[in-house]
Amino acid sequence: MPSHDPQMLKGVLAVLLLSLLAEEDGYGYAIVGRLREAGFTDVAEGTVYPALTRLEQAGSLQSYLLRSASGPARKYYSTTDAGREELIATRQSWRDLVTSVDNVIGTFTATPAAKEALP
Amino acid sequence: MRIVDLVRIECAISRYDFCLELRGTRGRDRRAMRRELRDNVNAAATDVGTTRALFGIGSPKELAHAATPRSASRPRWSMACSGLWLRSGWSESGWCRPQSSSQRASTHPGDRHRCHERDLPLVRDDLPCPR
Repeated sequence: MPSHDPQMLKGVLAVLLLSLLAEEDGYGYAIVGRLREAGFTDVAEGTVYPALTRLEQAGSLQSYLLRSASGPARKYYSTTDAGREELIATRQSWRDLVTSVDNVIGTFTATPAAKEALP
Repeated sequence: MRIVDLVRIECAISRYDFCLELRGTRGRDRRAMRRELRDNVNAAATDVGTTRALFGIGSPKELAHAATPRSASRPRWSMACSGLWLRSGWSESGWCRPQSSSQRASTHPGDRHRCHERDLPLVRDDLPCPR
């Protein structure tokens, strides 16, 4: 079961939520379930719900009420046009960051001194 | 779901609502956020149980702080309560002095360094006694 650094997770949570909701609309707990299925097993509901609220306040998400079979209407989120634009920009930033970090990490592991230091 | 579980969930939601109010969130927004949290916690409780569901949301206070903007203003009733509390603490601490020289002169020498209204010891001489 993979564990993630909470600070790193917090930094990418917005783009994860935007990506998930760009694929399919969802309500709070269902989105948490989808994140867990994707491998973020240690993500807490208390992190996701406020992030959804903040993204909605920022205009990246919009919400609507949909009646559920089990009880009262649920608040579903979907991405707005601004959210999709933000997702495209953030996705590119993320890929650039991953490339840069891979370059540094790759250089470090390829160094002979580092190889000698390994057990 | 048992009644105890419902009570626990409602307690958490009430705390969340109170913290949102302290953050200056308007009643209409608070109602919507409360309803959303209740739905999500109920869905989680059905899935993994009430204890795990409440553990998942963490502290209602931190949840409210994370969900509201930092520049939120406090509600007026809360500011009024703080003002009253500070005022009562101020007067009880004895940081006061007689307001005029005539009032000071009317008291006998032993009372010169005491607050004329509450008979509290004088700590600072440059602050007025609250009336």
